[in-house]
Amino acid sequence: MGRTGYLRQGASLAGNRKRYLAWLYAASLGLAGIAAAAAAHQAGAVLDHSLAADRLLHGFDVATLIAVLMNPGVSTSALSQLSTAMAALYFLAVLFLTPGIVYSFVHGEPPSTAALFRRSGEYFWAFVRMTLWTALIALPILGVLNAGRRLLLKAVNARTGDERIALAVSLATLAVIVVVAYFLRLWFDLAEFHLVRRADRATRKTLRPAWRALCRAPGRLFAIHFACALAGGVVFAFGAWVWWHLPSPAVGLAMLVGQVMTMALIAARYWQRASEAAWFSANVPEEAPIALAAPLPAEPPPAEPAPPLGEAPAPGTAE
Amino acid sequence: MSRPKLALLFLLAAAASLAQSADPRAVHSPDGKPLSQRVVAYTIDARLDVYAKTLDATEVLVYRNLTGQPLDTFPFHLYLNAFQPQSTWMREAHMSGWRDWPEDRPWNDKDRGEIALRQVTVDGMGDLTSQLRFIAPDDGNKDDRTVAEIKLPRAVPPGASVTFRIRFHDKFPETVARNGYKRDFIMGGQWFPKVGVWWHGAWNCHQYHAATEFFSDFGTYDVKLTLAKNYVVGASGYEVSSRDNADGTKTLVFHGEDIHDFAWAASPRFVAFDGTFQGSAGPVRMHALVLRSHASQGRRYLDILRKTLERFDQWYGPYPYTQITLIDPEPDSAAGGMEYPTLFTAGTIWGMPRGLHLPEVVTEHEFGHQYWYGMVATNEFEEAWLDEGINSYVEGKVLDSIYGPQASILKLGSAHMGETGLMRSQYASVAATDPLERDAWKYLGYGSYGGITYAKTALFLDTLESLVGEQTVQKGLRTYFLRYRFQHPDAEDFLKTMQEAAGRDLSSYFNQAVYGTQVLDYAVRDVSSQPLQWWEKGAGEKRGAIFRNEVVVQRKGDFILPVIVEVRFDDGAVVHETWDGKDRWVRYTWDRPARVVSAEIDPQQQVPLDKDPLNNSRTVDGHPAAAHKLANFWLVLTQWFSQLATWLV
Repeated sequence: MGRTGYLRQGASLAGNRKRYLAWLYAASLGLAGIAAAAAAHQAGAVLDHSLAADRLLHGFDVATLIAVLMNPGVSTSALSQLSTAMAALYFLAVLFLTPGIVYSFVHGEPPSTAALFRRSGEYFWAFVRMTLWTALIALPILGVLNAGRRLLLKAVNARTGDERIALAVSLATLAVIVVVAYFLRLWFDLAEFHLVRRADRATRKTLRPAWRALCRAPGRLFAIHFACALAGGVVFAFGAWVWWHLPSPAVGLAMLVGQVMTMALIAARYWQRASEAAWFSANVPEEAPIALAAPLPAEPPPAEPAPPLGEAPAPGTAE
Repeated sequence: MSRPKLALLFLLAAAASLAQSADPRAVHSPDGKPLSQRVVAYTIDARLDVYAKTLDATEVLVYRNLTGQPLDTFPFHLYLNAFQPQSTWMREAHMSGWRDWPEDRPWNDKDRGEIALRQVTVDGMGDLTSQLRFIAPDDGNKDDRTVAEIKLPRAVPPGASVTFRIRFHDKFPETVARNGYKRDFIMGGQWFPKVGVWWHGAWNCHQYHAATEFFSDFGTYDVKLTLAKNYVVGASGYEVSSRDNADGTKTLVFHGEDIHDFAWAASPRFVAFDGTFQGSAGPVRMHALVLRSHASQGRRYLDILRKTLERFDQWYGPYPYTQITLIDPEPDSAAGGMEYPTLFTAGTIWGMPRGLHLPEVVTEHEFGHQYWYGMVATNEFEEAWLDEGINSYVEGKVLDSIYGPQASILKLGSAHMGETGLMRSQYASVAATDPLERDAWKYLGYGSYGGITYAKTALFLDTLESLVGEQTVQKGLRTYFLRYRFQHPDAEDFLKTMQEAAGRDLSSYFNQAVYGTQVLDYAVRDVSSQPLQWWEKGAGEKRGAIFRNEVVVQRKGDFILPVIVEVRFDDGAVVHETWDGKDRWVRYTWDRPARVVSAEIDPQQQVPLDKDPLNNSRTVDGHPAAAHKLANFWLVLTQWFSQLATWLV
């Protein structure tokens, strides 16, 4: 199957599990909404009864914004702390929901909220460990690369004041770091797929086969990962363009556009996982003694209407 | 006396007269006479090593004693010595942080600057090098070497001249405080020994502080600079000649007159952009030396420079010099945004959006200093607000007239920012810290120095317009410029001139705004409407019902200024009340068949000195749309940050 085939299959997997995406989005909106409500409350106390508010509504007077931020009734540090806390909660929410989503992608399990929560619960601690592995391996690598990038930029800056050269070097080195980050993310995505195939949920044992799987088709996997990111990026950029051109007082529309942009980010990542899972299912055979986790109990068949009295089948004749 | 002798005397007198008269290539002098009382004449022959970032020079200074009394001691500024760890400048910057020197920044030997006096001789008095001693008149720091004093064996009588011959060596730091080198760019500011100013009956020669700028006497400058041939140089005055030397160097000769300092900048990557402004005193060459990587912005620099020159010429008086040189300094150097006579440094970055007017702001501001510092040469050590603040006020006027008052700093999409808004933001956080009239090094910190000297002065003059009218303030500034150009006026001179233009006593306003730290902050505390017959059921719904409308305004700060209160009613009526601001609060009451909708203090926004613009108005009904707009930004920012963090999962 070609790259577009996996993307299509991924889109199908993701499309059939829209409710999982809805959960992710709801978590994002709900938690960030708490931070935004606090911001609205603080800003409202200063602006709601002030005619100066009009300078923010019709157009966007940066000086008025600064005056709001400097007002003793508005605590940007408290708002930042709240937003950070909400981001941490969102991180936990995604950490909790991801095992169920990944399990469903890999095993083709039909979407249901109960299944999502059950699988997420089963694999939660395994995914916590996987996230720690990701942090332990990826962050130092990216950190070293970033430090190297900074040194290189410093050396470039020492030699030339031409910002175009500095910008070119900055973008090129950033691109390298992004590519490395993509491969790291792919590796751990594949490790997560391996993980949900294992009954023993041994996290560390997934890293090597995931690496082998990645090395089998790095270009194709990268293309899948990049294509989804690009699609999300295009929607995000288009949303930014629309927002820029919206009439200034159109607060409701701006919020809608902002949410479309947010959804583009979340959906792109969701599609990435689904497409990679499609590739994984088609190309990475299950290895013994890997065992599936215990299947979910079959849901009871819908109750059929009781036959009318006198039509009950005779014992032993039931179909 | 024989005829040949008479003829010789006549020729000598004519030559002396020519030497005193204005060089038509340097200034436009209407009568050919010098524009300033030339106290000093500097002749400097310097050789710059562009690789070692050092300079060796000889300086001949002829000082005319116009003080009316004999002088036997002469203090000299040695500014480059500020860039040494034990100096007062560095101590202050290290302890409190400053513009381009963050607090506790570690010392690096690249930061070291030095000006060493190798030899000082005085004509007729011999070698006096051993008579030199460093003094620290401001803080007694024995390790500070930014001021040296020399005592002559005999006094220079009033009206006589004395000639100093000084051999000195400079080492430039990697740019600190708009001085030194960055990569192959070199900024030569405050690079030679400069004599202090006899002012108010005493020598005025302060140490170099992190917060201070400069003060010096008018005179002439003849500077010869030898450096590598591939370098392009911009300097104060104008270029008289250029000669290539056999050793791969070239020697440039510059001449400036009726200026009180001389600076130059050199880079092998400058590209020249030239234009001519036809001023009321004569043509002015606009000479912009722009880095090759910023060449696309060369015309942008010239465009704002021309518009600025037009307005200054029209509003305040002619620019009398024949040239103004703009230097586009190296990016991320600490050399941008600095004024010197007939030369200034601006600053931009590659790809600067058209709607972000930072190159325009800095160009306008630094050119403005040609008037407020360059010609009206106030004491930047002791009264920084007179140059920085007046210049900031005029900056607002010029840029507002070009881009509109709401967009003079920024216009990107629906986002905008005007000069007054920027000044208000800078001022608000430091409003109660320092008075305008204070030695620059005694301010609470850099934020206070900037917020008070620049922003508060601009807002003080903006607010003065509400008292006497914009035209009167402009008239006062024009008079101040024309009266005090080529002199060293002080705050009293300025305030008296403004009061004279206003034709009324403004001392109450000046005492609060200039000499005091009172904060101006008026607020609408409460707005309410109640039916007069409140006890009747549905009284508020009855047709023609009379309402008791109340508005309570409050003075939250100590600054007292009369203000207008505008009250709007739901039948469309608008009422204006004038409040003298003396009481802490005032309650206004109207019984009308209409409800009050809103009340606003200073509805025309003529009192920008009011620290908090948000509490100047109050509406009865709440309008949450603006808060929701901000909350929406906060919402998506939180969501995007959160999503980024989940990369690890």
